[in-house]
Amino acid sequence: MTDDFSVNIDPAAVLDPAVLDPAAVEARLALSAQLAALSGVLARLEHARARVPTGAPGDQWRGPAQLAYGSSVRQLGGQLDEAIDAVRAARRYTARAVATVASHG
Amino acid sequence: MAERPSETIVVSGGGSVAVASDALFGDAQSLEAVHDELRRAASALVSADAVVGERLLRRADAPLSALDAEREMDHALGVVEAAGRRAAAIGFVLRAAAHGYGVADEAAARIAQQLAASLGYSIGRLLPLAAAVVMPALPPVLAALLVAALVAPKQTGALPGAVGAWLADNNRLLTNPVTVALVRAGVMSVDDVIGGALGLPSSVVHALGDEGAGVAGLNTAAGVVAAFGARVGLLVETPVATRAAGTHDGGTVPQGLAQRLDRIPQRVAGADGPRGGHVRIERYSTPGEPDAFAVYVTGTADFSPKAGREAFDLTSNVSGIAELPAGSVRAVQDAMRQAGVTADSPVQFAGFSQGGLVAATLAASGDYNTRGLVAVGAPTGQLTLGEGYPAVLLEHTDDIVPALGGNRVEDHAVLVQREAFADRATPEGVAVPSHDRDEYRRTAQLADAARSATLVETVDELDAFGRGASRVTSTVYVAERVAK
Repeated sequence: MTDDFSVNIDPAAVLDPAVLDPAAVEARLALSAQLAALSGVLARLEHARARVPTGAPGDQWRGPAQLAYGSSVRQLGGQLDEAIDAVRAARRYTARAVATVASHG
Repeated sequence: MAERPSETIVVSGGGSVAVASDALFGDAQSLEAVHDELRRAASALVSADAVVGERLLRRADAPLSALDAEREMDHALGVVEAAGRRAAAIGFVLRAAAHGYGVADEAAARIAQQLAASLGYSIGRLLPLAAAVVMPALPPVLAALLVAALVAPKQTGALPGAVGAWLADNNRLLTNPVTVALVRAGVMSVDDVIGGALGLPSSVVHALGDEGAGVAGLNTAAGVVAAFGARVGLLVETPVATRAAGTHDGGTVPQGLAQRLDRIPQRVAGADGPRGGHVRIERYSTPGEPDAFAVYVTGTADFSPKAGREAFDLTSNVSGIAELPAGSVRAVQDAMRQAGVTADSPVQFAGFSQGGLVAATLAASGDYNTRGLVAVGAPTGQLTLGEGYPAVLLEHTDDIVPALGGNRVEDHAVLVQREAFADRATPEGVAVPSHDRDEYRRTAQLADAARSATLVETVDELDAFGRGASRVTSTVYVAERVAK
């Protein structure tokens, strides 16, 4: 899934104290930093997700051990999917917040 | 029955007692990497969350979406931390399983050795009685035929009819991990059989043997066999003459285990006599550095218990296991001297079967500046290889030849094992198909593609040898016995 969270900011408007509320500027910069940080977190989680084993190691595992291991790595994969979804949502909300704060100015 | 060869390799050694498939080690490493990545992701999430404080959001009259983002980040952090704990736990369980298996395997081997020793001693006590009944020359003849059949895949036709044919027709019996384990235990108890036959007290035999102080063991037993053989003109060592049979300029430094196995020469019987060399020595020249050498040693070329012209024969096998100056060992030493190898020259050894035993013996001798060892299908179990250089041993758990070397006495070298005929039929007419070079080539390829960090790092270290050489010169040597 590819999201475009780039926000067009007019630098002149950001820097003009007569035009913008300083608290809004600070919030917008902070939210933009948060957005960038979340992108980094997402990359880490996707990298980790790709390294989660897909099943029992080799063809020597049989029976309960194989089932227990398979179940554990599946649950781990599920948790990572959930975390990735949450971070994507956080990124989406943060981008929307950046845009909204910018429009306040 | 599936005809696909087993792709599972089991990795052990490298200074650890852990024993597991490469896939298991690979998964454990992946899970540890996932845990590390999740730890960093959790830390980054905490930092990201701290960038925007609640006070700032209130002051800026931030929209609800900012609060929604905070909520999702809190949720993500909780899940990431839980996933990190789970990844660490599964990785730990895998490592513990490998460690536990290794400890159990070692304990089982020790118990099996004790039992085999006791049994061997009892058999030895009965041996004089049996010897009085059976013709004295019969056991060594039968043993020689059996060993010849075991170590001579594709050459069983050279054996006296019925025995060779029977072994070739019943190769599944020999190509079996259980048989291999029994042979290993039997080999380890040969000293106990001899002790029993000599009428020594069992406490003395056990105290001196492999189960005790290790003063007398497989090497002693092999020495006794060689001494008895010499009395009837068998297994008699002779001087050996080594000569260069051809030099080739050019080529590259080998990368990986399969390429090393491919460079080990093969001595084969032809209509006009034997062809091929016994030893191949590659010289790697790099300006400003001392020349480095790679020594490749062939396997057994003659399986007769009576020494002929071949230096790589059954006599050298027995002498090698007895840790006596085998003809094959002296031949390689002579070839190395002719190639210009000195005590300071960096040297890497590789060998197949008996060649692996020779390579390991020289690597561990302390006479050379050893920088690596690859021994394939070799009876090296009782050799103390020492440390300070990368070493990889390839063995098939259904190959009887490595078992002839007995139990392993050290864990510095990385041992890669595979059951070559786990789920497929054995080919007809071959006594020990699992000792075939092509089967070992497949094992080497699997090892080259392995994920286990211990194995990967060891092969990387082997591959660094001679890298960057501007000139590679290869010389093949032939070694023949000289009549006394």
